[in-house]
Order: sequence, then C-alpha cells, then structure tokens
Amino acid sequence: MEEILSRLAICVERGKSDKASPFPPDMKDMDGAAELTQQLLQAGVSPDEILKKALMVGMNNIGEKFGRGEAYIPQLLIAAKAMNAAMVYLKPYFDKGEATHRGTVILGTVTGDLHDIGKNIVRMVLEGDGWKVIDLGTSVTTEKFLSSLQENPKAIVGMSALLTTTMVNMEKSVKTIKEQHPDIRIYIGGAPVTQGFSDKIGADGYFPDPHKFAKHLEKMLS
Amino acid sequence: MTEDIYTFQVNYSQIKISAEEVMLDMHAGNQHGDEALLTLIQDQLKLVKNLVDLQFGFRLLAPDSINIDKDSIRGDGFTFHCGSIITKQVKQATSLAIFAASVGEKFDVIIKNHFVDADPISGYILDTIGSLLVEKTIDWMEDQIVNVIKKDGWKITNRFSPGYCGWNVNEQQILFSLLPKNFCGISLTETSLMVPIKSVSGITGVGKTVKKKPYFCSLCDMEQCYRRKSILLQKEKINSD
Repeated sequence: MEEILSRLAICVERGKSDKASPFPPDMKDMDGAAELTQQLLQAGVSPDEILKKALMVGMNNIGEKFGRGEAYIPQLLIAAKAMNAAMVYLKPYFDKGEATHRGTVILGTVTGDLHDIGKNIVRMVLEGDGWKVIDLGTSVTTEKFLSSLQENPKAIVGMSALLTTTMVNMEKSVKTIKEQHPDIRIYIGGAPVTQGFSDKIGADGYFPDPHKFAKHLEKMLS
Repeated sequence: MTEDIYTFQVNYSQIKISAEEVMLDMHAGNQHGDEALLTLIQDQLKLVKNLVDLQFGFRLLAPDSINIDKDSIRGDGFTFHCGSIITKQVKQATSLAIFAASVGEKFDVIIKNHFVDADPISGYILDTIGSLLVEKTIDWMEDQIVNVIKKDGWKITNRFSPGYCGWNVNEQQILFSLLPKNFCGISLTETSLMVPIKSVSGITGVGKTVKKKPYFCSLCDMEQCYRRKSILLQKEKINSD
C-alpha cells in the first residue's frame, strides 16, 4: 500500500488527474490520482490515511517548490485539479463524518469587491492541505461572515480585497467580528493589502501567497 | 483636432495572443508541467473567440481645454487628483483622450464557472487571457487615437489609469462621468469597480510636444502594483532564458 500511496502523492504533485490525462508526458497511460484513490479505498485504506499520507504530501511538495520559486500558481492549480480528482472519491466519507478535516476556514471577498481569483486559489490550496473551506463568494457582508461563524464557531476567517476602495471594508468586518468573537482568528490577503494594514485594522496577519497562509495554519495546529 | 467620442468593436482575430505570451504573463517560466500548461493554454485560446465581445472607445477633449498643475489635471467641470507621478508625465499635454475597453461580460461568468466546476487551472488561464486581451485592445486603441490626431501633428503620452501611479481608484467615478452611460458596456460599482471585471479605463495625454516613454514604472513608488511585479518578472525571465 505504501507504494500506491507514494505514487498517488506523485500524481498530485505533478498534476496527473486520471489515466486518460496525457500529462505529464512521462506518466502517459499510467493510473492517475482518481484510479489510485479508488484502488486504495478498495484495498481498505482509510480516507484519512489517503488524505494525510498521499494527497497532502503531494500538495505539500508542490507547495514547497512554490515557496522556493521552483513552481508557480499554474503548477499549484494543476496539482489542485489532480487533488480534486481524488477528493471526488473521498468526499462521501467526509460527508458521513468517517474522515475529518484539519479544521474549517471561512473565505470571502469583502463587501463591494467582485474579484475572486486570488480567493479561489487560496481555497484550492487549503482544500488540498486538508482544510474544510466554506467559500462565501464575493462582496461578502460582515453579517454573512458572522452568520457563517455562528454555524462554524471554531472556524478561521480569511478575507480578500483587490481594490484600495474595498480594502477599507475589511476594517469594518474585522472590527465587528472581533467584537463579537474575540478569539476568532482573521487573516487577510489581496494585492493592495500589507502586514502594516493588517496590524492597523486588528487582523491576525497578512499573507502574500496561499502557500505561506497554509503553512501558517499548519504551524498553528502543531 | 475637435472634441469627439469614438467607439469601436474589435474582432478577436485583430488581437493576436500566443500561448507563450499567456505563459509569460502567468509567470509560469520553464518549469515542470510546461508542456501540459502550454497545451491547456492552447485549448483555452481556441475557445476564446466565442467568449469575447471586445469593445473600446475614447473621448477626445477639445484642444487647449485642460490645465495641469503639480498634482491635478483640470478640465471643463472636472478635476483629476491624479498626483505628481502622472502630472509630470503629461505636463506638456494640452488635451486628453479618456478611454475605456472591455472584453465583455461572458468572460467573467466562464471564469467563475471553471472555479465552481473544480477546473481552477482553466479558470486561471482564462483570467490571464482576459487581462492580456483587454491590455492588447488598449494598445490597439492607442493606434486608433494616433490615427485620429496625427493629421494635426498631435501625439500621445503613456496611458494612466485610476488605481495606478498614485491615482486613487475612486476617481473612476469622475472619469466615467465624462463618458456616455454604459460606455463600452461598462458600469461602475459604488466601490469604483468596473463590471465586467476584465475592463480597463484611463487617460492619455495629447499634445504636439508630448512623448510616450518605453518604461515608466521606476517613476512610481507603489510596491504592491501588479503591473510593476509583472514587468519585473518578465525582465527576470528574459534575463534567465
């Protein structure tokens, strides 16, 4: 089983979604993430083990390369696509509670802002890292963040903004959420945002890329 | 030169984009997965022609209708508080072309759908293609402005947009108030966001003694500017190849 787990990790890292996928060329006609996940489940390997010993390893490897400047966002997303191909088979186990996530992250682009590419990439990377992500979408009001927190009281919140005109709305949302839930951790991201801005508005941190955010969350758990 | 408003519909075949350009804009480099990525980009490029509704337009203000001081440009009934980085670059201008361009609303929907359908890489590729298309449309538009004004011996400066070079993005509201409603299919939100998202707006200085410079990011101090990052990354890539 260890060998299949290891092959699955490589499939995720290199973006080999399934057997039909012609990429990467040196893995043509080989089983991909979808087939290997099915084989592992049929062999009785638990969804938790598949997630932790293969999928998260593959995503972590590509994430490390990203952190070293040896891979870029497209490679992260190709890996995320392979991860999703495997997750299709694990999802029923998560839905039934037979497998568990590392925790829950609520993500949203703040009020007035419709940009969501950055937020979507963060979502893919976090899901690949074993987190349950509740994506509230774009132009998310403070009330919507609060309502989601009521349903997921232990969640971490991630907010994004791409415009200087909308990043100011983060301040209002962070302030209101912190007033009602002082222990909730709130992280921010987006092109105009900086660590200085995060400090100023009372957020718990700013991350310039999804991998650094995922690494920070992982450190928080340890 | 007389004051007038010009609008154009652009055929996708007039704006050529190669897979390599998209790759470069995605900062994907010569890294692992290149071949896969190039093929995915080529696949998306084949689909693009059915998704785009490329439009651009500009309003040429009347000659000698603007005053430029240290931080602002004033015209008939408006003031752009665009800051000194921009005013320095357009100080010789005696008029402005106020422009906008968009790839159309279908693009936004398709990009979003790809992320919902768990195909983020296709969504990201299309997002990059959309940004490139709208920038290339504006490049094409500059040629059209020059065509209109060159008979009078007029030239253009570089183009500048709210949100860049220290010009507050809020001033999109002023800029769009100078254009007809729903110009090129673009509307503005209260937060000055253009919808469709893949749209660009801005100004170009016009005058007999103005110059267009090849590279001007060094004049601006916005460290987080994506355009600056993009240019620097492209330079790094060229140097490393």
